[in-house]
Amino acid sequence: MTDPMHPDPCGQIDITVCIPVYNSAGEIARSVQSIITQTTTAQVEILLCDDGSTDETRAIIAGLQRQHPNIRLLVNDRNRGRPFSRNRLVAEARGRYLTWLDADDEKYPEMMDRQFQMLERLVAENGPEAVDGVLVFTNFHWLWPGEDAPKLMTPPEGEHHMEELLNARFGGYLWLMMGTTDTFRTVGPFDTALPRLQDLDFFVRFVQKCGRFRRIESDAPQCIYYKDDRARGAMQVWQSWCHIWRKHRQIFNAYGPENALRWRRHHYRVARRFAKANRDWLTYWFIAAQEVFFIARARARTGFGV
Amino acid sequence: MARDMNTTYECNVKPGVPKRRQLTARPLHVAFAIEALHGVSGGAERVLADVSRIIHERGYRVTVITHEGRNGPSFYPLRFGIERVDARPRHSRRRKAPVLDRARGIAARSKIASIPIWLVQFVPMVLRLRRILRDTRPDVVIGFMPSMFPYMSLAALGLPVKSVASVHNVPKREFGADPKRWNQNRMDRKMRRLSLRFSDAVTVLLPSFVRQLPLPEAAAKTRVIPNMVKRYEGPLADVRESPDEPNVILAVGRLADAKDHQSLIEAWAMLEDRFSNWEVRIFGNGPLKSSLSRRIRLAGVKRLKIHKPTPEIMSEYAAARILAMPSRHEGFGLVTAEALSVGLPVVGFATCEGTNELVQHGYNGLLANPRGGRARGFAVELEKMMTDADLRTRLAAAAPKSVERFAPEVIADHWEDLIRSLAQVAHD
Repeated sequence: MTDPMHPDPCGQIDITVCIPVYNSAGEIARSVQSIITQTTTAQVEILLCDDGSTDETRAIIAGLQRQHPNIRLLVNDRNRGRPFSRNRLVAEARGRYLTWLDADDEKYPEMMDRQFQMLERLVAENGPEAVDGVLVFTNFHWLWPGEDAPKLMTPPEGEHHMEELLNARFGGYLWLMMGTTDTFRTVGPFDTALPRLQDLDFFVRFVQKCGRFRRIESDAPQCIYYKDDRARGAMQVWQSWCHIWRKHRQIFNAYGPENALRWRRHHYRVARRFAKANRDWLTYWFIAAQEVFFIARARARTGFGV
Repeated sequence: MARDMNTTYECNVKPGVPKRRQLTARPLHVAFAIEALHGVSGGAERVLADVSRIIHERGYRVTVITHEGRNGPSFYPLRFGIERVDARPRHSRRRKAPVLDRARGIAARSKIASIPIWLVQFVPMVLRLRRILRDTRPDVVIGFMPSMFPYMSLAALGLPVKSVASVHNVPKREFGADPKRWNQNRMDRKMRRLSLRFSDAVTVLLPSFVRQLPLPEAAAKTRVIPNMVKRYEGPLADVRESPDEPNVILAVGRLADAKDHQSLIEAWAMLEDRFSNWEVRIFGNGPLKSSLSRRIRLAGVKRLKIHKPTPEIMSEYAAARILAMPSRHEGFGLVTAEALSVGLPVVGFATCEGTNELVQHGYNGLLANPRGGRARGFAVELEKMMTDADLRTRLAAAAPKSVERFAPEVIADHWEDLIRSLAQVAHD
């Protein structure tokens, strides 16, 4: 058997791991290492897209490439934003299946094997169509800076995916998901107007096109997300939420005005949380003032409390 | 770089070609509209899932519009890539007022009160559907059943979208002969008929249904598009009589008045004593279950049993000798068509629309005459079929071929042809 991390260049690639990278010199080696140490026997391709990094990122990747020939690097001519990089990665992926990793997160060694086995089992039992529009996810660890113990996160596997996405109960991310590369292509490209929340926008469109999420059989967490609100522009987050709200307004409204407004208030809360973490009080109060205005207008229009 | 990226899989926008010229090359966008899909396991819902799947596979952009306010997953899974939109807001505040509903139901039968009641009830729905049409901009919208197409054809008025009214049952019943079907509002019944005028095309399931449409001039824009019957790949039914195992007469269908299982029970009561190695199995569930069970007891028949519906019905067809289809009327007769595809000869009634279109007397089944009594007529044909093994074999041999015209790709061709011709008119 060939080494899955050194696949035969002419052979079929089973999984492409897509990693968008921007100024991640400190974390990229750790993230790529978490793919190298995966226990899976599938043929894996690691595909990175450097979005015009100005630090040592590219040199570190070049070093990794010398050790691991299954690493492929795409380079953007300048910093074009993460959605653009994601689109390039999806277009260039050669694997039958595709999964994601962000430069500052880690997969535990069994994650990809379990996801791959589940997809292969679905194909064996019900034919190749069984994995069309299926994204397989896992539970994960979530670690805030300064905390010792990570928190276990368990996105629900209900049948009302859309509702759980809009009310933020699902809380899934792209790097939890593995699906066929065609599934990612069918949903369509990532929205380049969204510097943040590309995951949510993608999942909403995925579910709207009759996609389904399936959890692997194990409840154990399979990866860790180093959550950090700092150094992320609160205004950017806020604008992304507004874009999501405008773009998918019809879907929000399909759940009734009460739900739509309650879920909209969650957007305000998250944006304020980012502003608070960054001590960006001007943005914090700007968003808070907008929220007050929003509530007053909603009450005036509909006559119920939100 | 950005342009290269997008062409890979975003859409068929080609670099260097003016956008206006490319618009004609975009895939046609077809919307299928039905009242509800979440947890609804009816025949029309299945047709919608099958047709939308094949149309999407053929490269069309497909949207499925519902108006159910639940936005839950469809009972029959839709193909991945088909967009799903629910036009009705969920949890819209509605107080439970059964007395008020009842009063409204009674008032809706009057000539004058029915108009404002209809307006209050359905104008918001029409406006919501219109907004969805404006947002999604399909080229053709196909409304399924009278719970959707009247409102959809109104919603499409004045928009650059062609609307199709798709009738999935006997038109006589759908347009008023059966007042308990669909909304009982007088105005709604009128609008149902009027909507045929607004629609750009009408589809019915069988040729004889065209002349049943309440609007004679609608015949010119009506197409007959039957349901799909999947090709049966397994071993065909062996209809020769077996001395060792019971020879099964199968009946499949909802235990409801229209299916008239009662006539089958009475017919079997006349025959049971003379055919000791035959038995009847009815597969179905429905409102008449207890009353039919009582009739079986009263008739004193031993070898007639009612079974729960099974997902493995195709293997039941393959193991049977005859399909008994005593229905009074059928929208299409999917059970009959499926049984024929497995090579099972059918006994039905000559007066049953649906059955009499699928079954040709003496070719792939026998048709009973109900004039001298339904049970008696049915028993005569059933007896003929049970006693004459050569006849059974001959009819069984012709059966699969007789339903080849309902093969999925043939029916999908009909739908595609309709969609293309409407879109062509729109472009011209």
